[in-house]
Amino acid sequence: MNTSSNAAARVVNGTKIYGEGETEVKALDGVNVEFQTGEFTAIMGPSGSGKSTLMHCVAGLDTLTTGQSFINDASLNDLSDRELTLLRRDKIGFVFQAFNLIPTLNARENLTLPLDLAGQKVDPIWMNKVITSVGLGDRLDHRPDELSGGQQQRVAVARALVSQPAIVFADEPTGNLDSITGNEVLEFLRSAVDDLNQTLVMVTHDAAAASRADRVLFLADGKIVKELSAPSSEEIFDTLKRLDG
Amino acid sequence: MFRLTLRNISRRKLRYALTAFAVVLGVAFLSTSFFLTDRLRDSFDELSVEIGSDQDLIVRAAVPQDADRSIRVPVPEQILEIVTTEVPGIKTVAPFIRAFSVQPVFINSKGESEAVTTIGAPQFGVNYYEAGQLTQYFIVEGRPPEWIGPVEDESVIGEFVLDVDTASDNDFVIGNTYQISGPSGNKAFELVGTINWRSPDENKATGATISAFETETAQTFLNRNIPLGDFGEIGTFDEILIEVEEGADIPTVQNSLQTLLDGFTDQFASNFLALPEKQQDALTSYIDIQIEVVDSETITQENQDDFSQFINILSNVLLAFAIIAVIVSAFIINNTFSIVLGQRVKELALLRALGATSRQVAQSVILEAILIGVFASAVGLAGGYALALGGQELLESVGFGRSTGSLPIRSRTIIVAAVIGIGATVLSSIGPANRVRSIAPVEALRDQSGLTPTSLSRRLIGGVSTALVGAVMLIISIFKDDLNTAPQLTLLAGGALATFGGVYLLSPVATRPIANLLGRPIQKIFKMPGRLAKENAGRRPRRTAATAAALTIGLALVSMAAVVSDSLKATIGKTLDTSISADLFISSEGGFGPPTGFSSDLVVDLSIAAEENPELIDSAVSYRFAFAGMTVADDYKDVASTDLALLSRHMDIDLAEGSINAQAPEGSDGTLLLHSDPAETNNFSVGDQILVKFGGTREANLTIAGIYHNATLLGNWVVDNSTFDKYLPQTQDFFLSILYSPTTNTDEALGFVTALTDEYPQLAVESQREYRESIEAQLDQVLTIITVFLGLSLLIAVLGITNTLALSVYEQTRELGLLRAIGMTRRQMRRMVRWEAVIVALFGGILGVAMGILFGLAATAAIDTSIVSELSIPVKSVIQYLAISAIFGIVAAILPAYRASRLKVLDAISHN
Repeated sequence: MNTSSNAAARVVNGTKIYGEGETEVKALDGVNVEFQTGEFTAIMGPSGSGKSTLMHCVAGLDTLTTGQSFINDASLNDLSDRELTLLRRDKIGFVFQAFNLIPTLNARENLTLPLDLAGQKVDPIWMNKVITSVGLGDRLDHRPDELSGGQQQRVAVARALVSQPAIVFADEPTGNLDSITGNEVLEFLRSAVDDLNQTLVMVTHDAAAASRADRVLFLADGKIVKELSAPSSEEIFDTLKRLDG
Repeated sequence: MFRLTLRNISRRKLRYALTAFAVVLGVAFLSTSFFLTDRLRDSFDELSVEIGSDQDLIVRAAVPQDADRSIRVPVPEQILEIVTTEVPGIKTVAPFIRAFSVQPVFINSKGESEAVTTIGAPQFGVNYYEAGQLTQYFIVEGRPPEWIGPVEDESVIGEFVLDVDTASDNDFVIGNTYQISGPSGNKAFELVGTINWRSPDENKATGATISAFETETAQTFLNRNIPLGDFGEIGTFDEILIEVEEGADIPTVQNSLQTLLDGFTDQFASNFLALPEKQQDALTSYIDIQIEVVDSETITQENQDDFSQFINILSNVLLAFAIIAVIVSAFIINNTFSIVLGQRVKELALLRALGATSRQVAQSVILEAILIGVFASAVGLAGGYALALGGQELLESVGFGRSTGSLPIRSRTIIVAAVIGIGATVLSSIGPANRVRSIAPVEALRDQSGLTPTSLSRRLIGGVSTALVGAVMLIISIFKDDLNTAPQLTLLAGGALATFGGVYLLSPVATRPIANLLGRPIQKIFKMPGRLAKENAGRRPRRTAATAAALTIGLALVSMAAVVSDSLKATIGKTLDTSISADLFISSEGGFGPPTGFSSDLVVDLSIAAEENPELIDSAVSYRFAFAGMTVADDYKDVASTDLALLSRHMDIDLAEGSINAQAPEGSDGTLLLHSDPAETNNFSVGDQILVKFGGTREANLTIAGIYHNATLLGNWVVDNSTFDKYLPQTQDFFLSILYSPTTNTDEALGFVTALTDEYPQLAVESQREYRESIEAQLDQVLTIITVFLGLSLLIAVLGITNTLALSVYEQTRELGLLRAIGMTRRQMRRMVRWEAVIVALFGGILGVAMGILFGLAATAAIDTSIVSELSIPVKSVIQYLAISAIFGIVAAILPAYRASRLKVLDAISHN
């Protein structure tokens, strides 16, 4: 296996097994994958294909049964809960489908939360750049329940970027949004890759969303079955159809 | 619906178990107090019957209905002969003498002499007798005490026997000579034997000390001889015990004996008037003596009444604390129901959508409450029984009560426990159940859903008006001092209750500002976790307020007691500083139970010493107290006696008018000093002659010599010692004060005094400072006991905080998962939950302490100024209470914080 140090994250022979005996389920089955720095990767696949599990295992939210996963060149195997937590805090950004923000903190505080938890000072230049790119302006002092769904997701993306992580994972970031606001969020994600050279991995059901990515991985039964480079949504659609069929 | 309810409960076992646990604790405390006091009452009743049936009849002096029985005079010894010889049907007769505070002195392991002490139990000095069925003393080792000679003669060493338990506990040795401190002073006696009381096989005087002397010796040593100057003395007995012959009719014997004794009394009265005046004086307390013959039922009844009086006080106190605990748990149940139902809105809405009426939904909630109440009451009763078993053993181990039979289970105990346990649970579920009614079926589909709480504006109006009513009641109770105790207490308690209710209704409004204030330093120190703790505490004001309220109740009561106690201390301190000029105080060494008196030999000895060494000691004054010792206009009053000639040199009772040491005018039986309050109510002024009855029967015309303002020292009514000598000869000195000469050498003077008091190891000699400290220590002890009793309520409150936090953690699972995902460490998460708990607890603590201080000041102001005249807030204790609240918060957070930190991140994020 290639040990390129250019990868922001990678998985080597990753296997994840849930349950035992009769009820055993192989969610990941010998997966090998790399995410290059500055690359926007979309992961697709039918329900139960293992796409979320793959993301969780690379992101340090879950552990592989066998095989290894790395962030930069650091192995995630054998890390304690505390080490994993610090890794997530410092090296990884997250955007979830919903409930991304702490309701008791305003948008700005939510944005800087990972830094505050780390007790780190905010780099004002970087912070400014991120804030400008969120485009929330004076609404930054509002609490999440005073923001629209799209605005909330943009704050979530900005929060994922603020600590300049090695990699950002987005789990169906547009799943709860209408197509217009969803588009805005995707735009924002794309610009983070293009303008800030951010590495981004996004799990999605939506072919249109996936078409924004530099490459799309297709998973089925815990295996990577197909990889497309900068595909159009039609190509993705066709691939999905074939996989389902 | 019933099946669904059962399912609901079984599905949320832990949550309901926590809720029920609060009720269980309350009910357990309640039933323990019932079980234990019933047990005590039963064993005392048995004991009373046993003691009562020892004899068939008792001859003794009568005491009026309401008078304190301890002032009963003894009967002249001639009566023994009448009883023995003149009435048919009497089988055995025994003369009986019983004195209190008779303390043998032994040499302890450190080589110091020490007086035998007991925990609350009396220390009897009695006469030894053997009289058939009437015999109460059974020799275990050695032999009975015998007549050696007149013990008033210093060279005569009398004999005594001691109960086996006291003897073995303190290593008394038969054949050795011991000092015994009794009413006529200290005398040496040889121990000639040990005895069992009331049974040949077993000493039944558990806890009490019994020193028994030969009867004539007892009469002298225990002060049962009336000196008649040149005419010698008359011996007396406290009672004459009678066993009636088999087959004889007890009432007949009783009646003929009574007739005979009435004749004797008449004779005595007419003889009395013929006596020279000096002799009449010595016999004053016998002038209108009535001798009565009572049967065993009467004795049993009297003893039972005495015991039940004591037990009723005990059981009422325990009951009050138990009810407080139940009220505290009611707050917790109410809060838990609100939270749990809030979390179940979707499910309940689904029920509604499926066709359940709003009534059915509400009923299902009430049904849940009933089931929890039934379960918790049952467990609480069982727990209470177990606790009572432990308590019984504890009481027995300290020699209190006797182990016969098991704990009585009265239906009253079960009914009250069930009514209170189930009632509290159901009542506190009514509010949440009513809110459940308004859940619309459509809410099943909504994303965010919760119960609609009572509007804040309604709470605001209700809160302000309730608090105002409370404040007005408090103010009235403080400033209207012409009220009787009962209405004043009612006003005070009602006012406190209303104020608490108002503050409780208002407290959600204050939650956020106070949480922000308290959270500021926490945020400073703990950064983001501190910040989030602060936000979470202020997030749901009603929940925080309700959780804190449980703690508020306990702390309000503790702080209130602390303020009253501190004010008492301040009053005593001020009195000592400004009103007392005496340098030393002598009283029997504390411990439990009432203080014991001592022989007036001591004050006589000290006075002689003062006369012989005027450069060291100025004077010594003794004080005696008789509770309900005399009547004024047929009302029993507590009365004190002292040496009025010397009193003003030892203390300043703040004389308003008249004189303290005025001579009684011709035709008056003595002088009386009284406090300005009773003087005003009775319309008495200096120079008035009033008729009082000592012991309720012995009339005396006393002249009011002075009216004073400071009743802290001696109470409301004060007479000279000579008046007590004459009318209440049974009272003993309880207290001495000693004044040094202005030119004295303190060390030398103290040495002089202690040389004399060394003979009385049961007495403590204290300087002003030491005296003050020992009083403060006693007050602290009372406060500690109150705090311990409130401890259960505080424990329940801590449980409530734990419960709320656990429910909040459950509610916030997703939020917590998110925090963990983006990098919050477990430690930071525990910190966040912990400091939220501290803020909630401190909020409750601050409200409690603030209200407690308010109530305490109100109570202090309402209490008669003769008891408390200074207001004082114990700042140190207040800070301690707040610190303890914070610690409670930390303890309460242990489990929820652990659970929060152990959440699996992935599960938490996807939690619904």
